[in-house]
Amino acid sequence: MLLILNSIAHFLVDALCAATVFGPVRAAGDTALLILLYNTLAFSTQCLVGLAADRIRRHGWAASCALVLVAAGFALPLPPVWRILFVGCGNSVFHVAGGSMTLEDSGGRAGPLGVFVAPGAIGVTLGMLFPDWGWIYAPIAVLAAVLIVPLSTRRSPQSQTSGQRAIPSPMLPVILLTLAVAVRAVGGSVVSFPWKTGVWLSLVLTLAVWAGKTAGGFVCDRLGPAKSAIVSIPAAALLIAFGSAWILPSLAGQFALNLTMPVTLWLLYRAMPDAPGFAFGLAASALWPGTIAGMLIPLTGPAAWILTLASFLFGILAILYSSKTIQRGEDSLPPEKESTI
Amino acid sequence: MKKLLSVLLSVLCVAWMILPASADILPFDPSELENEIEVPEEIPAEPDEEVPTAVDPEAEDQPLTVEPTAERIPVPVVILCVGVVVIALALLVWLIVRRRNPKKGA
Repeated sequence: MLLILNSIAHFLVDALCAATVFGPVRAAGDTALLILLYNTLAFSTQCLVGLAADRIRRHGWAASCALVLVAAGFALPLPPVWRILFVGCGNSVFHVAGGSMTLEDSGGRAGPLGVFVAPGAIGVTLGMLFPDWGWIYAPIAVLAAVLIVPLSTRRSPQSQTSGQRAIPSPMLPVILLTLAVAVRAVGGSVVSFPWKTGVWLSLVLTLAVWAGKTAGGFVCDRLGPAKSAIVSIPAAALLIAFGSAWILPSLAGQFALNLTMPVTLWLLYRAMPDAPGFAFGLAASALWPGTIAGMLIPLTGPAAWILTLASFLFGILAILYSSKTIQRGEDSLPPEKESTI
Repeated sequence: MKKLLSVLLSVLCVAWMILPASADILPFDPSELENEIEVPEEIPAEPDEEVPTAVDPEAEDQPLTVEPTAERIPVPVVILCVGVVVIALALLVWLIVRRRNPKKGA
C-alpha cells in the first residue's frame, strides 16, 4: 500500500516540479539560469540529503513535508527564485525519503524499486506539456502528504533498519556504479530523437521509459543483475546509437536502457544496505553532472555513436564487476543469528 | 648574493624585452576582461585580415581566443564542478561514518 502511495506521490512531485518550472517560472521571464538552479538543487543535493536521512530516519515525515513544499512552490504566489527553491528542495527530499522507504521495505528485491522510480518520467513529461494541470496535482499531493505519515509509521522496525548487513569493502563498486550512472547520462545526452515532434510522440517515448524502469526491477529479480545487464545494455546501445532517427528502434532502445536503471540503483543499495538514503541520493546526484557534461560535448555522427557505445560499455562492465564483488562480499559475511537475509 | 640578484634582474629585463607578448603574460586583471570581450564585436570580419592560427605563438593571447573561453567557463561548468565535488565529499563523509561504525545496519 505504501509503495503504491509513494509511486503516485513520486509522479505528483515530478509533475508539480516540471509544471512550476514550465508554468509560472517560465512565464516570469528568463528561465535558463533558474532551470540550472532547479536541477542543481533537485539532483546534486540528494547525496547530502541521503546522508542526513540515514541518520534521522524519519522518511515518512520527510516525504510528507517535501510533498507540501512542492505543492506550495507551485500554488503560492511567490517570486520565481523562491518557487525554484521550494520545488528543488522538495524534489530532493522526497526522492531520498520515498526511495529509502522503498529500498528498506523491498525485502531484498529490485521489483518495488522499479515501480517507485518509473512514474517520475510520466510526471516530468506531463508537467512540461501541461503546466496548468498542476492545479489538479497540488491538492492531491497535499492529500498524499497526509496519508503517507500514518502509513509509514506502521512499517515494521525490521524494515526500517534494513535486514541486510554491510559488505566488507564496497568502495570500488560504489564508485564504479556512480560513475556508470554519470557516464550513461553523458551518452544519453548526446543522442537526439528527431522524430519526437508532437505531444503524442513525447508521451509515447515517456511510456517506453516508464515501462523499462518498471520492468527493470522485475527482470533483475528474475535474472539477476549481471544477466539483466547483458540482456539489456548491448541492445540499448545499438538501438540508441544507430536507430534514434526512427520511432520503433528508439522506443525499444529507451525501454532496454531504462531496464538497467533500477538494476544499478539496487546494486548500489546492496553495496551499502546500511545507507539506503545515501544509495538512492548518490545515484541521483551523479545524473546531473553527467547530463551537463553531455550538454557540453557537441558531438554528431560517428563521434556521437562512439561516445554512446563507450558509455554503455562502461555501464555493463561496472554492473558486472560490482555484481560479482558485492555477491562475493555477501558470501564472505559470517552467518549471523536471527539473520533476516 | 647581490651578484646573483643582479644577474636575475638582468635576465628578467632581457626576457621582458624579448618576449613579444609579455604584457599578456602578466597576472590577469578581471576588469580588463569586459574590454577584451567587446573588441571582437567592434572589429569588422574582413576576409583580407590576417587570421591568427594555432601555430602562431602570439595568436593564443589575442582577444578572439579570450572571448569563447570567457563565455564557456560560466554556469554549466561551475555546476558540473560543484556537482562532482559534492559527490566526492558525500562519499568521503559516508566512508568516515562507515569506518567509525562498521556494524551499523547489521
